[in-house]
Amino acid sequence: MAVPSNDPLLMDSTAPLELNRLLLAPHVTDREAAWDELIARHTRLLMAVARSLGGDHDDAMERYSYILEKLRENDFRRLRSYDANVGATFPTWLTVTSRHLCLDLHRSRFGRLRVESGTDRSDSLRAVRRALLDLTEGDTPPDTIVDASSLPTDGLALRGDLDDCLKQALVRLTSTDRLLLTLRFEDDLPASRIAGILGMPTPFHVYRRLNSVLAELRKALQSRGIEGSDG
Amino acid sequence: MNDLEIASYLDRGLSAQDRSRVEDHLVECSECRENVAGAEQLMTKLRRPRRLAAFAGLAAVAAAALFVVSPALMRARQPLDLVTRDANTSSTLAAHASPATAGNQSTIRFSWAAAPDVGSYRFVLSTADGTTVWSYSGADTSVTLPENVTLDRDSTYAWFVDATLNDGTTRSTGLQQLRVPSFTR
Repeated sequence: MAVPSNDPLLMDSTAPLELNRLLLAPHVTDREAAWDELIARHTRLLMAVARSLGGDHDDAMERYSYILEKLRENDFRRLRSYDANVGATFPTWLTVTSRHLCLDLHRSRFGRLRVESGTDRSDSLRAVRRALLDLTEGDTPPDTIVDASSLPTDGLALRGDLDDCLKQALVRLTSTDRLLLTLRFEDDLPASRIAGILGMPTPFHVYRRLNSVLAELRKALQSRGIEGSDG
Repeated sequence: MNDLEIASYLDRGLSAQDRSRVEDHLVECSECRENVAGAEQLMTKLRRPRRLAAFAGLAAVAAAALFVVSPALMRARQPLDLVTRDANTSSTLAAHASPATAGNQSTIRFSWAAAPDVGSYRFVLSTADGTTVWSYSGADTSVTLPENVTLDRDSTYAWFVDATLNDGTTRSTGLQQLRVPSFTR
């Protein structure tokens, strides 16, 4: 089989064999056979992605067909964009890409999916403050962490100071720790999913790391003269 | 973030610098976080049945850690009683200290059995609180901890290897525990 030399992917031995075979295929019949082989190998993955957005069997099959159509489009343009040297395995890349395509299809039909965050940064800060309180304070009820609207003027100033200090302390955390707090307190994800995203071995590692980070934040606040987190 | 960046992040294939840059972006971008979380959830679902099977028959990807102890440590007659243990079953997995020489430096080598039709392996070593100490992604079935990565004595670490097969499924060694005992007991 002739190997064109102008495409680095084709020379890349770390790309999946079936992908190389498809992109190298010199004739239409070879290409179709390689395409069939690639899809057969990854059907379980693609169907799982197609089902993941809900709906009935027909909805899932429509998404599955859409994924295949888009992967074939423009002489397999999307498949050619996969670069094994960047650090992603092909199945992971295929999962992300096909899920992305399903979301595109959904948006084209029903508009943009609303990200189920439901919180903003002030909610996140409040959640972190509450967690700081829960960590070490047994005698201060959580409802002492009040909304700004119900605070007197000096209380508002104190709360503002706390938030400023908290923001400064957050900046000093590692990017992983900041993301850990965001996933937990802004997105409200369970520890099991956070573990998967951050690459921690178990949810228990997430809990332990959270406690460690919160203790670090509490210490930082205390060093700035803010006792407790009940501002 | 594009699809390749998201996939590389999930596969722990990014450099430390790129990983940090991606995480900084994720903190600020809820849409990208949703994409990462959604893809991760799918991958977890896809690997779940095989993961259970892997626990039932660890022979497929049975893991073992081989520890090479420096001559200095051997002279001290304080053999490193390094033990790896499957945290889920508490069964000891063929781990032992080897009296091999490795210069003046303590080195630790992790190895595991090859999985069939494998795309890549992902090895992660972390502290007990979940902080990743070192990770590796690639096709090798053994890794040696780099010299610049030091482990504390009398500490417990966790490690695991996930094998991503070409059909998109994953096999795993399961969580392994690594205890580095105190040198001066």
